[in-house]
Amino acid sequence: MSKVEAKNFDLQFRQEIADAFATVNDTLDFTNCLSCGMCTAGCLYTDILENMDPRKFMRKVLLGLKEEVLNDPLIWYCTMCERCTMLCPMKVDIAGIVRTIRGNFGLQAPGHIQSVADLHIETGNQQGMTQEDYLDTIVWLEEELQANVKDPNAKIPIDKVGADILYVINSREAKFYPLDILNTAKIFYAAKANWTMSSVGWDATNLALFSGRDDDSTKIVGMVADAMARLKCKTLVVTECGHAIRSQVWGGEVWLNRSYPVKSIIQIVLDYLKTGKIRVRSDLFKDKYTYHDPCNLARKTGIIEEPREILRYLGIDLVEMWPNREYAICCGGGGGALSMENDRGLREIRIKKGSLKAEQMKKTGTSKLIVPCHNCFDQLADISKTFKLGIKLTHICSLVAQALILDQEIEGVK
Amino acid sequence: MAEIVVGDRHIPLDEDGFLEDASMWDEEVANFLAKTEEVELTEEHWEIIKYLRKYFDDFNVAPPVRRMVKDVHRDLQTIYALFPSGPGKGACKIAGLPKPTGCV
Repeated sequence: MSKVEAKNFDLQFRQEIADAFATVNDTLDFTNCLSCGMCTAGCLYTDILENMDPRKFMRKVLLGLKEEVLNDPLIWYCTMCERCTMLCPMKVDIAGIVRTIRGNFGLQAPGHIQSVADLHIETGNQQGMTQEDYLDTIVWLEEELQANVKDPNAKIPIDKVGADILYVINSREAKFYPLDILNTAKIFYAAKANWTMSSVGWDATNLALFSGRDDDSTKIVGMVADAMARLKCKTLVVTECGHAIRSQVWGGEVWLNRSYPVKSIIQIVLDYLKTGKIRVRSDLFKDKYTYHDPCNLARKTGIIEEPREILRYLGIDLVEMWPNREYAICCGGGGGALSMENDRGLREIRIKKGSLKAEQMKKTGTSKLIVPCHNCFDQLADISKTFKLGIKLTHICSLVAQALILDQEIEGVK
Repeated sequence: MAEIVVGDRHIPLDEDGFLEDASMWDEEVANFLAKTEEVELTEEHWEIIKYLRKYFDDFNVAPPVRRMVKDVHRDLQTIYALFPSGPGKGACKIAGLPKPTGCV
């Protein structure tokens, strides 16, 4: 154990952190730390990784051991899942400190986090898709939708001013996973929703959430905020992507003081089911499924029961992992880990963290997993492959779209 | 790190099974990569693989699915039938394109 020398205490360090801290709370809240160790008890990675101890990390921060903090592996190991903060009696935002240090003290983000954030700022989306390719994709998906629902008037509206909903996606859907957009469009169609997508500012993701760069974050979330202002929509609705909902809900508040409501598509779908705007078959999915609570959705945004309620409408027999809901274990791919590649050995760390999730999934005895987050989806698919779990993953909207009962089908029965 | 051995060549793959060095790709390598994806390559696969390589040569990036579907005159269902892990992860991998960056 290394010696802690009082001469190394930098008493200005906590103030430097506070000055840069993006938070909706008081920027010095972290100095309320009681040093009790609940964070370390709550962080399950402390059991399987060396150099992963939030309590020690907090002591270094508060004692002003600046160099040690800046070189602490925890900075990039932490998935910012906030399990520590949930359990902390003083609600110290350790993920917030991690983020502040990542982005404000000259550290270089691993892997391609920064290059993807730069590409997003440069092109308007993190995939670097051209406007032409994006719009062509939406027009094509509209044709696919029309064929799918057998209605030549089915639409995927673009830039419809005054729509109730502006729907924003993860740009990987437009580039590589267009069926995700089609599924949601089918749900909006069935609900006769007054919705639109935007020609500009359509990517809700934000890798600057993980780099900790607030200047980049503000620009990236600002593109969506500009689209909301231009199109005068009532509610911003975000696809099944954990960090996107976090960026738009929390980020919209801290970086842009946003004035419009933000909802996850999951909340919208549940509302459609409850109000009878859409109807679904409840006899389609016979297998047992388990459900992963993405940290950004569940613990951080409080969307916990809504997905489960949707699954009940679908008649899905859910076998819960344990622990679950706000106590759920992070997939191990949060905090930008999936974009760090194997820089500084971080891929091995990510898979090691995922081993906890692999154990949880195995114990459910199911081979079907519902994941309402693109990032968790990839991490859990990686884990399934690495630990040979043979798990099939799906998003919620994919299940709902399959089970939709369209009006024209009901009339056909008559 | 994983690698495949093709003839007397040791070809390194990244953690997701993509080529580390795109210049090491040739048709023999594609056949090996196809095996990792459990795909038996037919004429129809080759047409799409050649298209992807040409697109990557021209633009230094993988094409969006929409462009690919349009340019190779196939519908999405056909592409998924040919490459079960999808256009991004399946087809691009066999064609020797690097793994896409970002949240993919």
